[in-house]
Amino acid sequence: MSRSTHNRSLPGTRFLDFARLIFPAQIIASVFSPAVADLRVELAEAGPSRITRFATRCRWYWALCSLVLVAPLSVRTSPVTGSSDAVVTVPNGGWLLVLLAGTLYLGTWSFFGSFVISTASAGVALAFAMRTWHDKHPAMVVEPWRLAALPPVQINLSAIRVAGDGPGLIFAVGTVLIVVVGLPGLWWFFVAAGLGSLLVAWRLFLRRSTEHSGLLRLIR
Amino acid sequence: MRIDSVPSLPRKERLILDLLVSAGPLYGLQLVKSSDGALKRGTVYATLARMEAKGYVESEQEELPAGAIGLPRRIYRPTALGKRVRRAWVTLAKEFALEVPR
Repeated sequence: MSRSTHNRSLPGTRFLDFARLIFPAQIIASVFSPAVADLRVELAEAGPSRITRFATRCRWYWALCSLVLVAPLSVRTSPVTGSSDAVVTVPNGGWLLVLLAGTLYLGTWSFFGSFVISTASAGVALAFAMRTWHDKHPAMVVEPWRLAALPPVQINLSAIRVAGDGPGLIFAVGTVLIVVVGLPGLWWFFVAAGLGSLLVAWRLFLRRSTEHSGLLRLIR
Repeated sequence: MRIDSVPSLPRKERLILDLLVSAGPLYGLQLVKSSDGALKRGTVYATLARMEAKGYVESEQEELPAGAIGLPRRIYRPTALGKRVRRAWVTLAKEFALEVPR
């Protein structure tokens, strides 16, 4: 058995993999890793009895789920510096946004119905696609000083920055698809708008590339 | 020192400091077990992380034996600031206890 296979079979490994997707490394190191390490110790001390081991597992997985909810509300990490600069008892804006979105979805269930499920699923899928794109393109330069200067987005959706890159395209296309699912009668409008914007984008691209090559000729 | 910058010590943090001062360095699970149900597995690690950020406790990862696979456990001990805040709180509690009308 290889080392990685063995690691995968240890209790709590999949939970940690999941936690790494949504929490920064500081919270993983200070909250989730110690919890999973203690889970393994208690499970090892539980003995051979299947019932005791099952009860221990259930207790711990309940505790880990509670931690997922508690950690972002009780520990906030600094995006630039180390854990010693962590700020306490300030709610994490991202989680507040998730709570707000969940409440809105529940509140609009009676008249939006299944559209709520499709938008929620599509939103999660898009978020994962954008995150994966960012993970696979580490060449993007992060400028902490610029991030620090920006006001926090919190619940102001219009303040979310969408760049002209892969995730920006995923965001734009995904948003249009979600709206088309909700308002199928307007599909022709989005198709026409999409085609029109493609034409404008192509015209802009041609103009800028011509200007760029003209400048290059002047420099040479 | 401004009044809003005086270190706070909520009940659970006080209990953790009491346990760490009386029993010495402990793991999170040991804190849960020695608190008689007052501390829960689902919150103690977040509380410890918050206390560490406040400077009340410090932690250290245990070293795994060579060739061992898995996660190292984290052991917690009170800092000088943590002990000082606890002492101050005890003094404050005694002071208020004396003022309770008979």
